[in-house]
Amino acid sequence: MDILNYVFPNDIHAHWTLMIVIYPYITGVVAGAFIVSALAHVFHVKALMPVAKFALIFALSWLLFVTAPLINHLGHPERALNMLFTPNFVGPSMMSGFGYIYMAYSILLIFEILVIYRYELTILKKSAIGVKKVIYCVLTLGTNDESMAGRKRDSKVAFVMAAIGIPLACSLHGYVGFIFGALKSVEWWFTPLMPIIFLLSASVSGIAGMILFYIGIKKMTGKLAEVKTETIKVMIQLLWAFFIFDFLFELIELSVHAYGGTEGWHHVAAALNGPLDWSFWTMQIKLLSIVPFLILMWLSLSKVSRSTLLIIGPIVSFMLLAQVLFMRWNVVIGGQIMAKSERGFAVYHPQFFEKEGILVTIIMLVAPIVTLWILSKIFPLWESECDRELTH
Amino acid sequence: MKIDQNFIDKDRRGFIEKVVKGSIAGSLMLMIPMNSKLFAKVAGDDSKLVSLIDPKDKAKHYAFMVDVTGCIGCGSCCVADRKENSVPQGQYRTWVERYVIDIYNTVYVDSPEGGEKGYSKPRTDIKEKIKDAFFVPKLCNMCEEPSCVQVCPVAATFKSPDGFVLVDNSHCVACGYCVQACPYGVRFINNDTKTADKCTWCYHRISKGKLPACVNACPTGARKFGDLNDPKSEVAKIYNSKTVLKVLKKSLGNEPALFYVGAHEEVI
Amino acid sequence: MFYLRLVLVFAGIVALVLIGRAVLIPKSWGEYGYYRGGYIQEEASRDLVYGTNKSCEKCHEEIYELKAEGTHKRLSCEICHGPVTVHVKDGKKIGDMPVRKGDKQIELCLTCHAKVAGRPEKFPMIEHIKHLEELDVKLTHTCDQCHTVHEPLENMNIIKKMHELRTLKEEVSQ
Repeated sequence: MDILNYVFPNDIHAHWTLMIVIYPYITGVVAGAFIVSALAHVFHVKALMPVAKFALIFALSWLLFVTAPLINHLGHPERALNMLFTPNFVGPSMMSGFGYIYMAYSILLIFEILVIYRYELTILKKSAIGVKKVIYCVLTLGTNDESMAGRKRDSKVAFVMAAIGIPLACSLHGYVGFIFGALKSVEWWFTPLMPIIFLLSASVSGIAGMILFYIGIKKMTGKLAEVKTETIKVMIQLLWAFFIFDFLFELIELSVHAYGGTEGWHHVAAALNGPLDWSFWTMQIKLLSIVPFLILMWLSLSKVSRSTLLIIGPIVSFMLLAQVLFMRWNVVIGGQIMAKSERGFAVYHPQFFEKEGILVTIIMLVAPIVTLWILSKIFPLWESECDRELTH
Repeated sequence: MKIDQNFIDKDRRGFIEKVVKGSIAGSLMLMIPMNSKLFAKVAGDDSKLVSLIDPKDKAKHYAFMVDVTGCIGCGSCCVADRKENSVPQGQYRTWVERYVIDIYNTVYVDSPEGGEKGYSKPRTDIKEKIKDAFFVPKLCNMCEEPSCVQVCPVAATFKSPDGFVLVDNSHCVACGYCVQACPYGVRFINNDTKTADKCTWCYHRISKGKLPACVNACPTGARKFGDLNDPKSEVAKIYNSKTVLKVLKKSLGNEPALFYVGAHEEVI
Repeated sequence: MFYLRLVLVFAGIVALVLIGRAVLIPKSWGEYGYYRGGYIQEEASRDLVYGTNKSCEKCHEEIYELKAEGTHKRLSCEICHGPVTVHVKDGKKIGDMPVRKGDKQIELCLTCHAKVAGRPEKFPMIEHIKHLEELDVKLTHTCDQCHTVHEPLENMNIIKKMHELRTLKEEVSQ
C-alpha cells in the first residue's frame, strides 16, 4: 500500500481541519455537562446537587463556542445563516438539521438557566450596582417575584425543561456523530455505531471536564475544603460507567470491522497501522483509554481517601479529556487521510499560525474557560443557601 | 538482392528530398496569412451564443462515456477544462490517471498534475515487467443519487430536472460536506471563489448545443457525450450494444451516468 | 409575569427566524425544486471559452478543409492554438493565436505521439530520437520539417502516390 500511494488530485490534503476536530469536542463537553445537571434536576441524584448549577453554566460557556470553529472554517461565513433560512430538508442534510437542533438546545439551556437562577438573581439584583444591576434586570426579565409559590413553580418548570433537555442534548451530539457516520464515501466513518460512540464520548468528556473544573476552581479560589467527597466519588463512578460503554463501543466497532475484513477494512487497517499509528494505538487506545480505565476502576470500586480522589480524579479526568480529543482527531482527520482512491493516504499537517491552525485552535479551546470565569461573575456557580432551602 | 538494396537506398534519399521540399511548402502555407480579407466578417461568434436549454426538459437522458482503450493520455481534455471553466491551478474538475500493472499484478497509479501536462514520459520507478497499462480520465459522475446533493446543508448544490448536478456558487457556504461525501473525489473548494466547485459536464456548452470542452478537445474520441434517448447518438449505440460498461464504485449505489468502456476491475 | 415575558422572548426568536427566512430566501427559490432555480439559466448562459473547429472555418477555410479530410481530422484546432475567444471577439481579431515552433513544437507533437506504455498500440507513436535516426535526418529536425502539421501524412501520401506511379511505369515499361 505504501509504495503505491495514489490519492485523487483534489484529495491530497485533508479539507476538514483542526476546526472540525474541536467542533464535536466542544459540542461533546456541552452535552456531557448537561447530563450531569439533568441527573441532579430530573433524577434527583442528591450527590450531584452541589454541581447541578455549575454544570449548566459550564455547559453554557462551551455552548457559546460550538459554532466558532465552524464559522471560522466556512469559505463564506457571511452566508452562515443560509443554514437556518434554506435548510436542506429534502436531502435531507444532517448538517442543516444540526443548525436547528443547536438553536433549540441553546434556547432551552439559556431558558433553563434563567428559570433556575431567577430567584437568586432577583435577590442579587437588590444589592448590585451599575452594569451588573442592568445585567441582572435583563436576566430576570425585569421581574421581582420573591414569593415561595414562584420559586416552587420555578423548580417545576426547571424539571420539565431538564427532562426535555436530555433527549435534546443527546440528539445534539448524536447528530454530530450522524454527520460522520452517515457518509458512505469514507469507510472509517460509515458505521451506525458512530452516533452512539460520539454520544458516549461526549458524556465522558463533559463529566471529566466537570470533575477537572470543579476541583480546579475550588483549588484556585482556595476553597478546596468545600469540595464534597461524595460528589466527586459519584462523578468518578459516573465517568467510569460512561467510559466503559464508550470504550466498549469503540472496540466493538473496530473489531467487527476488522473481523469482517472487507476491502475497505484493509485500507482502514493500513492507515491505523501507518499514519495514525501513534495517535490511535499509542495515545487513544493504550495510554489514554486502558490506563484511565484501570485507574477509574480502582477509584470507583475501592475505598480511597479523599486526598487520593482530589489528586487522581483531576488527573484521570484530564487524561480522558485528552482521549476524547485524540478520538475526534482520529475520526475527523483519520477519515480524510484514508483517501477515496483507496490506494493511499492524504496528508494533514496543521500550521501554527494559519487561519485554521494550532494557535486558533488553542484560543478556541481556552475561550470557553475565560467565558466561564466571566459568567461566574454574574451567576453564582455553586449551590447556595436558597437552593438548600427549597430542597429541604 | 544487391540491386534491390541499392534501389531502396536510392529511394530513401529521394524520399527524404521530397519530404524536405514538401515540408517547406507546408511551412510556407503557415506563414502566409490565411484568407486575411475574411477577418472582417466572422459569422459564428462563440462567445455570443444564447442558452437554448429548457431545464424542465426531461426528454433527454444525457450520459458520458469514457473509452479507456482509446485514451492516449495527452492531457488535452484537462487543459481545455481548466481554461473553459477558469479552474484554479492545483485543483481539478477533471484529471487523467495512469494505471500500470506489472506481472505480479501490482497496480501502480499516478496522476502528476492531474495528467494535464500529458504523459509523454514513461514511469521509470517500476522495476518489474509491465503487463498492462492504460489511462483513465476522471470527471463528475453525475449520479442519479448524488451524495453531494443529499448532504448540502443549504441546498446550494442540486440536481436540475434535466439531470445535471450543479453548484449555486452564490448560495454555497463552503462547509466542505459535499467534498467529503463525494465518493469520487471530484469536488473541491475553489480557491478563487471559496465555494464548492466541480465538473458540470460543461452545462453552459451543452445548453448552446456544443459538446463539453473536454469531449471537444479529445483527439481520439475517447470521451463521448450524448443523449441515451437518441438512438442515433454514439453513447446510445454503445449503451445498447454488447459492450461491457463499468461505473465507478457501483456498490455505493450512486448510480453514475458516467460509464467506462474497457475499464479494468482495478479502476476505482 | 416572568414566564409571560419568557414566552414573549421565545416568540420573538421564532419570529426573527421566520422574518429572516422570508426576507433572505433568494428569489426563484423553489422554481424547479428546493434550490434557487434562477441559477440553472445563470450557469447555462455562462460564456463559452472554447469554440469548435467550425469556429475556425470561416477564416481558415483551406486549413480547415485540409485537416477535415486528413489523419488529424478529429483533432480540435484549439488544442494546439488555444481557445478561440481570445482570438476573435465581435467578429474582430483581438489577439494572436500561439503557433508553436522549434522545441515547443516537438514537445507539443510528443504530448500525443511519444511512445509511452499505456497508449493504445494502434495509435501512431514514436521514440523521438530513434525516429530521427531511423530516417537518417539531423537530430535537430523539427516535426514540421517532414510532417505538415495540419495533415501529417500529406507529404508521405504524395510520395507514396509518386512511388506507386513510378512502379506502375516501370511495370508497364518492362
